Formats: sequence, structure tokens, C-alpha cells
Amino acid sequence: MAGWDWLIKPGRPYNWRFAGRVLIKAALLFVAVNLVYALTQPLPRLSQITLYNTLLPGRLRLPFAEDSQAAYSVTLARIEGMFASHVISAGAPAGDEFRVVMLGDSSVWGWLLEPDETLSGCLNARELRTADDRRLVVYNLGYPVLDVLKDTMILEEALNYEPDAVVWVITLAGFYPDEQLFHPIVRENADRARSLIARYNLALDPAELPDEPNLWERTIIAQRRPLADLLRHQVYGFAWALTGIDHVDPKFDERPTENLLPGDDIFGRPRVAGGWTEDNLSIDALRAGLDLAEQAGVPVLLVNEPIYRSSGLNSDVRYNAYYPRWAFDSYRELMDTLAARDGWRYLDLWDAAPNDQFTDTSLHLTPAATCALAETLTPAILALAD
Amino acid sequence: MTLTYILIFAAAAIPFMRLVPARGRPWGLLAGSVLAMGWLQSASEAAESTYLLPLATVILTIVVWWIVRPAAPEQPAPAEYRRDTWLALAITGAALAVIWLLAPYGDRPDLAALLPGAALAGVAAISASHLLGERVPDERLAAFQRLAALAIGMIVLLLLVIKWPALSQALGGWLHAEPQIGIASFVTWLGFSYIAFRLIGVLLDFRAGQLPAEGFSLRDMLVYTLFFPAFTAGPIDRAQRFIPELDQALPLDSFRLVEGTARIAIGVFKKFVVADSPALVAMSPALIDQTDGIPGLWLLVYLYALQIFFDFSGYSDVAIGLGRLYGITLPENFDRPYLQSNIQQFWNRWHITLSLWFRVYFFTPLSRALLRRHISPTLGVFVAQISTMLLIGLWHGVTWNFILWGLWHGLGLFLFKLWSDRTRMWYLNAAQRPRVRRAITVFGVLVTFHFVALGWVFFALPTPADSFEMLARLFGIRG
Repeated sequence: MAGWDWLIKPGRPYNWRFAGRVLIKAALLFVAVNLVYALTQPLPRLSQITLYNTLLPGRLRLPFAEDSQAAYSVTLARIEGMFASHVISAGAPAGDEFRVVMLGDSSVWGWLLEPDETLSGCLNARELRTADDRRLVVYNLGYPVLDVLKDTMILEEALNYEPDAVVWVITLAGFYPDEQLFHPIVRENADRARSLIARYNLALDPAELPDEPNLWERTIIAQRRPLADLLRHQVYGFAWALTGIDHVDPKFDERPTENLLPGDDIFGRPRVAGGWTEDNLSIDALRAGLDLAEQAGVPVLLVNEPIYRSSGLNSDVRYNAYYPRWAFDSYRELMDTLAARDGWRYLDLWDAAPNDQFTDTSLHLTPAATCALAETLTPAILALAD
Repeated sequence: MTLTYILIFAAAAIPFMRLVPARGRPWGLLAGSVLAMGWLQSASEAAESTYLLPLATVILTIVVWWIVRPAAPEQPAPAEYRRDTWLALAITGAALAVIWLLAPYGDRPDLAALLPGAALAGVAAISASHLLGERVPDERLAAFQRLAALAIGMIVLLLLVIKWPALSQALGGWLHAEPQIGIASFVTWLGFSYIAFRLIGVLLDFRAGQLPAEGFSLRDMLVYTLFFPAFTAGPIDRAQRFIPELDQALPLDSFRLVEGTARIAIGVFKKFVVADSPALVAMSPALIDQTDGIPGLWLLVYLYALQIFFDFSGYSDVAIGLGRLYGITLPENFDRPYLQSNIQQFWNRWHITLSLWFRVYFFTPLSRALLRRHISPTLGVFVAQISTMLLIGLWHGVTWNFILWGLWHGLGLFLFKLWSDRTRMWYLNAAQRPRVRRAITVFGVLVTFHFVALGWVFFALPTPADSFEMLARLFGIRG
């Protein structure tokens, strides 16, 4: 242990007073560092210190992993950290780049798909050019959670990265008000959610979000988990760089069921008398995002994503396990009305994918169907550049 | 040993060393070591054997102690000797009872699994009670030396069972080990690799007449074998060095406190920060399959080399630091092995106590025996080095890959010996020129590190096919 002699071999004999002083100084230093950390709250800034996009290639989608060891990825708490490892942080758009960010749920993120098999991957593979000869580069900013408020939070951050357009893929399940504040990504970034609720007067109760962290919760000790995750995320970056894997890709063994259970509820939610309106869905969270984009001068294309449409038992009442017919029809009608009234660019592609191209749920598509969908979307996306 | 254990063991040292009088500390260490053994075993993968395996460890140690007791200078044995032996048995029994009582219900082995252990315990207890009053008379020494050989054979056999996956699985089934989902039931006899070598070392020294004339007390023998800081990951100390220090009962002065704590902190940092980070992406069959490109594969090898060094040496630092806090100076185990300029120096600095153990108890006696048979020195060196490294490989596990790893290093050592014999004069001349010497050293460090790192391919991967495939890919022979 000669290498550590400077630390463990004393220049002069230790005594208890010395040991006590060391202990007290160490304790004071420990408390001071924690206090400074708690007062300055550097986690968002620390989240941006990253090996990605310099030593390591940026990730093609936001980090999310249920099995980190197999997926070589970590579910990070802070949105800043997610963006720091994403390829969108590699730099400002090149002069000839038409930068499109794509928002949405797991179908955009690419559940059971490899990074280059996602919607954005398929679009990039087409090497498209806009009418004014700019390269179309699409960034996958989907996140595998059905929650439109989460999309708006991500969009707000994405606007710092100079996008030229936004493609926002939506579905009814992302609009349930009682689920907007439920997901970890929203709760871990409660400051952002709270700010959006206040600025746009969203019909969501900020009291349902976690309280502002107290002094203890802001210390290094209390935040050791997100800090460790940040470190692990850097280490997994090496495996990502070597393998291009960021998601466990099991072969799905169950496709969406043809024969559905009876009933027209939505996972226990009873039928809404009179159908959906702007007030009983979180349309205001969508509007907030559209407003943010508009203020930044960035056009948005809304896309109602394809769903599985059963023709089996009880299919007269339901489209699939997610959606009873009344709910989805009412939602489509509402979106058509709002788009027409407010001038949204809106594409309803609810039946654009054949039933045999869905994988494990009524929303996830095979690579082939995903690329077919990308092809369907292409003219509308290119039109955003006009 | 997790961070929690380390912190608890370290924190407990201060009240223990300050409050327990010097005379009582070895007794406290005995009770603490037996309890810690049960606690650590309960947290291991083999929690089903929380009670049985610690019991077996204790019985084995008592049996070895019984064999190596010194010849009696007086009969009957002094009262103090008898009292201490009974006290050691009582404390150990009480600690085992606590382990039994505290073992979670689901972790207790069923009665059928306990029976062999209970039978052994009975034999040991009867033997101990019968023989407590009489030490080994001189005329029976030869018989006990034969017994020692038998005990060595039994321990090696046990080691073989534990280290041989098929046998270990069979024993696990016999113990009614609760199979985990998707994982075959194996026996994880925590620390047994180290315990076995401590006991074999004592038995070999006994046969060679190298144990002190006054022998060891049962208490000292138990603490030496089970000393909890070194229980799970060594170092493998020698009883002749450890026990006198235990009996001195060194106090925890400010120097030892600072030195021990600093050493633990260094170890914790090495293990839990430096080693565990590359461990996330270190060489594994899955990651190798998924990795494209030769540079990526080399990166995996380097990361594994770093991980395994910081993991082992971190644990050793923690053990040495904890030992300091409890008044015991454990031997060093790693000393910058990757900065050595040849493979021989590497093995003088890597897992030092294991290498030393094999050198003392196997390599040197074997080399001498071969020389006595007038075998050519080159062949003698070849046989001794290859067989020593093969055994070191097998100590890690009875698998083809550990055999290949041992062969790799055995061949490396042999070739280096041939090379150094032929280049010694040239090197001595070159050594007059500092720049040349420095360049040779740097080159040697690089070559040695890469030789060792490539050896880890055998160590890390499960089958020879995987390993050769990886080596071929590393050199671009296979895509």
C-alpha cells in the first residue's frame, strides 16, 4: 500500500486530540457540503454534465429502462439529465438542417423497437429534404408514459434546442386528468409541472404533486439515488456506444386480444354522460404546449396515433382493451372539432395500421408498420417547412 | 460484505476496543466472529444454510485444532488450559445458538438437513470433552500427523465439492436449499475458500513441525480461522503470525483509529465507487455478443481488468482497515500489480497472501522434491509453475475456464523464467543506461498488463468456447 502512504502513514505520531480534530473537521465538512448542496440545488446543473455527445455518442431516445443491466440505460429523474444524454444536445442545428422534435408516448419512444426502428428512426432513414432543400432530421423525444402534461414539459425543454417544427403524437389515454400528475417523470420534475399549471391555469391540482423538498430532502444524502443514477447513466453510455442497445427487446408473446371483456368502462372509469368535452379531458395541457410552441414560432403537427380495432367478442362495444367505442369516437369528434375551430394542424391516423401489425398492446406497432406510418406522415411533416 | 456490514463492523470497533478490557478482547472477537459468520451467511445467496454451514465451519476448526494440539509437557493439562478450552466451546456454542434463534424461519434448514451437522457436533463435543484433560502425548504424535493428512484430504475434498458446480449443485439439493427461480441450487459456503486454506496451512505446518511448541488455544484457533474482517475475502494470514498479535491485544490508539478508518475509506471507495462502476459494463457473454468492433471488445477487457483489481483490492483494504481497528495487523494483499514490469512481479503483488500460501506450501516443496529426483531444472520449473498456477485456478472454481486461466499464467511464468534467464546479463548492462532501462520497464508494464488482461477473458467468461471466441475477435481473427 505504498501508494496510499501519504494518507495513512503520519508525518508525526497521531494522538487522540488529532483524531478528534479529524473527526470534527470531517463532520463539519460533511455538514457544510450538504448544506451548500441543499441551498444551491445543483442537481439540474449536475444533470447536464455528461460524457454523451462528446466522448460517447448521444442517445437516440430519452433514457428509460425497466431493467438497467440489460438495457444499458437508467430511468433518470430530471428532464435536464435526459436531454443532456440525448443526441439533440450535440449542438445547434446545422445550417441545412430542418430540425423536427417528435413527442408522444411509448409508441413514439419505440417500445419493443430498436432505436433506429422508431418513427423518428424511419423518417431519418428516408433522408428526406424539405422543399427548400434542408435535411429533415427528426429527434425522438417520446417518453413511454401516457400523459399529455409530460409531453408539454418535454416540449418546453425541447424548445431550448432550436427545433423548426414539432410532431406531437397523441391518443385519448394521454388526456385523462386524473393521471396527469401521477407519473414519476412529472412528479420528479414537479417544479416544471407546478410552473405550467400556474402559468396556464391548468385544471390540475398542484397539491397532488410532491411538496417542495425540505432542507433535508435537498441534501446529498437524500438525493444520493438520482446522483447515483446520473453516474450509472454515464457508465452505461459505454455499453450503449458499443452495442447501440438502450432497451430490452423481448419478443412479445401476447398480441392485443381480439375477444374483449364486456362493458364500456375505461379501466374502471364509468362512461361519461354526453361524451368528452374540453373540460373533462386535459386538453388545456395540450393547449399549453401549443401555446409554448407558438410563442417560439415553431409549427406543431398533432397526430392521433393508430389503435388496434378488434372485430371479436364485444367489439361492438369496444375497440380494444384500452378504449370503449363511445370514448374513442367521442374523443376523435372532439379533436376534429377543436382542430377545425382553432386551426390546429391535425392528422387523425387512428386506423392507419393493420391489426396484424400491433405488437404487445393496442398502441405499439411492428417495425414495418412504424415505418409505413412514417411514410404516411412524411408529406404532412415536410409541409411544416413551408 | 456490503457497505452496511462494513460500517457496522467499523463502528462497533470503537466501543468494543474502548470498553472491553484487553484480557476479554480475544473472547469478544471469538463471539463476534462466530456471530458475524452467521450474519454474513444469512445475507448470502445460501441463506438456507444460515445455521448449518457456520456450524460445519466451527466443527471443522475444532477438529483441526484437536489434531494440531501440542504434545503434552505435563499431565493432566493445566486447569487454566482446560478452563479456557471449555470457555471457548461455551462462547462458540452460545453464539451458534444465537444464530439459530435469529435465523429467519424460512431460512432454517429442516431437521433432516440438520442431522448430519448435529451428529458431527456430537462427535466433536464428545471428543473434546474426553480429550480436554489430556494433551497429545509425544508417542502419539505420528498418529496425529497421519490424522492431519487425512484432515487435509477431507478439506480438499470439501473444497472440491463446493467449487465444482455439479457437486455443489448436488450438495445444494441434499441440503434442501430453496432453489431460486431460474437458478439451480448451489451451495455458497461463505468464506470457505479462505477458511480451508487457513486450516490446511495449520495442518501442513503441524506436519512439518513448524507450529510453536506451546501450540494454539482453541479460542485463538477459532478466531484465526473465523476472524470476521477477513472472513469473506481474505487475506489468508498465517496462524503463527496472527495469533501472537491476537494475544497481545493491542489497544485502539489514535494512530490505529486513523490508519484503520482511512484504510476502510480507501477500500470502500475502491470497491463501491471505482469497481462497481465498470462492473455495470464489464465483460460478459451477452455484452460481448452485442458489441461490434475490435476497439469495443478491448474496452470491455480493460474495464474488467480495472473492475476485478479494484473489487479485490478494495475488499482487502476494508479487511486490513477493520483488522487495524480490532488490533490485528492483517498482511497486505495487493500492491500495484498492474504496474509491474513482468509476470513474476505481478504475482508477487497480486493476491499476495494466496500466492505466498501456494509458494510456501506447494511450489517450494514441489520444486525441492523435483530437484531431489534429479529432474532437469527447466522441466522442474515447468512442472512446478504449471501445477501451482493450475491449483490457483482451481481454487477459484473447478471449471475448465479456471483451469485455462491457471495454465495461461503458468505458461506465462515459465516463459518469463526462460526469457529472464537468457536476458539477465543483457538487462543488467542495459540497466546502466537509465533511459533504456525506463523504456524497457514501460514496455514490460504494458506487455504484462495486457498478458494479465487477456487472461481475465478466461476468468470472466463461463466456457472455453466463449473465451477462445472472444480472444479470436480481439485479434480480428473472427468477426
